[in-house]
Amino acid sequence: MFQMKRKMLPVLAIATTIAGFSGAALAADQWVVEANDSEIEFTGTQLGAAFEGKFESFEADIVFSPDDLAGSSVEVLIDIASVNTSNGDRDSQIVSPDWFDAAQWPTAKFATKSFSEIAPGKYEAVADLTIRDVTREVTLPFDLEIEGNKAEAEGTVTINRTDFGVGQGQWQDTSQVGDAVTIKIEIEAMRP
Amino acid sequence: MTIRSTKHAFGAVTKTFHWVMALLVISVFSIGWYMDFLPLGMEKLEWISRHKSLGITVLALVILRVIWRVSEPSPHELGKLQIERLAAKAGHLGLYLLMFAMPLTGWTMSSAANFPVSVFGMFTLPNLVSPNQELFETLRTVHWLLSWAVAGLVGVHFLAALKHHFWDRDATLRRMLPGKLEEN
Repeated sequence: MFQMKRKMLPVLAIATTIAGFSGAALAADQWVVEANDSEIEFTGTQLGAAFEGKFESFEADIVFSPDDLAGSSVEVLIDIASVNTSNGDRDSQIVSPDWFDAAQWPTAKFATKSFSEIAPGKYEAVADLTIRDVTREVTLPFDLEIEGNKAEAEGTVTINRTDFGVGQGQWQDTSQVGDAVTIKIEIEAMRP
Repeated sequence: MTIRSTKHAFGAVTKTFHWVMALLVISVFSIGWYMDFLPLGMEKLEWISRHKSLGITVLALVILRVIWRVSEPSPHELGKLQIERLAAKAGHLGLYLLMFAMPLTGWTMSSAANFPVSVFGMFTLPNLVSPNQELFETLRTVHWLLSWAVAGLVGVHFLAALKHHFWDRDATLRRMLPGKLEEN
């Protein structure tokens, strides 16, 4: 069995490279995000009132198996310029140097370090979140449902924007633009 | 001082509504123009917050004021000519309409801009429409045009009060002042 696997490895590596995947086959499954049914949304507060927005473009590299959490990993690259808060003025502010400075740091990165199961169908991912030039550890609890080759994950995590330097100078003041931002992910992925 | 108005004099509630709202309208109007000229920054956002909160206060008060007004008698207009009395009625109607239209267009344009309205940070109003950039720009223009109507009508209202007081020497202004109920 071991012999056979070793023999097959180069073949698998080529096959997965052709298919656009990086690395050889792992025990945990590779998943492909269904972009149209997946969203990265956030809720911020401005002038004391909550508003919603989303990042419309992101790439996710997902390797996940409930029975191999140690071998699971998720890396998401978020295109900051794809922000949409249904307000053109605000969107152009968000990418400006005072906020995300998308010209200098065009992507935010979410890279998991470990997963743990907290209840059936409920997990927690400990991950490094990088926004601008700041990396901080965050814990994202999420619900996961796998049916056949389709998976749906949903989770929310609240971060403080000022921890990441989002809001420079006068915008470090959080009285008008709130510090807490809740990020909500809704991911639908297929196992090819 | 009597609480309710009569056919000849204004009551305490109506006078209070009048002066509190006069102060509010002048404040919201001034803040509106001031904040518009500020560069984007904390200060601008702070003034926008105040403008929205006070504007919604005007809306709440004008609703109560109209309910109160229709439930009590109103003193007659004192103009000598019928055209004057008609003009006074039209002017007052216009002021009432604007006290509704200004906050409502403001609230709707905030909704269209996906900038929900918080009232003094105590609670957030629901969005009246879904985010829509085009609608926002239209409403912003309407809100701005109506602000000129407010300036115009309040100006006429003020001048008319002075004209009644100094020219006609009637009780129009005196009877709205706080204090003793002025019969006439």
